[in-house]
Amino acid sequence: MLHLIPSTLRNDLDAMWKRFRDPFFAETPAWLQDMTMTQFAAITPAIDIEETNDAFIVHAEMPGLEKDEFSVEFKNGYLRIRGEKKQEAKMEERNYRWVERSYGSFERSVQLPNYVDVEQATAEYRNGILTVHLPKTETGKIKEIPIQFH
Amino acid sequence: MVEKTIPAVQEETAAPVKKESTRADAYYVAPPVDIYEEKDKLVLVADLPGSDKDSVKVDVENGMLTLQASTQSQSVGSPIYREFELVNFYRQFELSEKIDVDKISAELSNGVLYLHLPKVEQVKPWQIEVKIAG
Repeated sequence: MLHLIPSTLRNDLDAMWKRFRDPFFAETPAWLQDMTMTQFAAITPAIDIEETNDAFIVHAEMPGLEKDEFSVEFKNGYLRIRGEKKQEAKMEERNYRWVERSYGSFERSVQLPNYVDVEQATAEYRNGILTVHLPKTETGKIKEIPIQFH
Repeated sequence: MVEKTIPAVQEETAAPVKKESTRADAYYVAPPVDIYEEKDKLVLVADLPGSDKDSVKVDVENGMLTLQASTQSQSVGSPIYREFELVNFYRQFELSEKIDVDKISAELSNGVLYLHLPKVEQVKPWQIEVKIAG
């Protein structure tokens, strides 16, 4: 869809994004410095979060990654997914007719409640979708409170 | 190679009472693709997250390449935050080159489809057929 945005509008948005980002992000990672907003939006994985009584489940849409290109970690109460999708060949090496897919570094963090049992967390990558299963500790589970009828 | 996806027909909802349905019959998204050319073939790379090998369908008919894939929801709990949905994919391309349809091969890896479209060998490329109308 991004390629459908008229380029002047896209350039304006990218310029705005650069201006906005600089003062606020003191620790902007190197890879983010040169990225335009449209590139950023395209490469950053979209996520879904679901909740069951026993767990939180995070799905991230990130097609075409190899095993050594991304990692999932838990840090200071945040689940962090980050990686770099590498281009298979340099643009100039291939006779490209059409380019819409995105490449580059990305990072996504999700704040987790304190009743997630991080030790028991598992993650799997299947058909381009990452699924992280985060079981709840006992305090996070729904407990029905018995009602006494008089 | 030119994209030729035919837009879905928008049904007019003339009737004031809408039919109750649990899910839209067909909800398709055009996947992002890269296309590059090699000496003897075109390679089409498409992002189809959530699709498995059995759900991808590729057709070539009358110079029109149709790419289709379906996905199945992995949802088990109640959604609390949502940015994407697993959707069905659909996209069509008009092939300007002569493609050897029988030799088309495809591979799917981590939700990415690689479609190899071999060009038909030109036996006599210098021969031009001239048709005179009349």
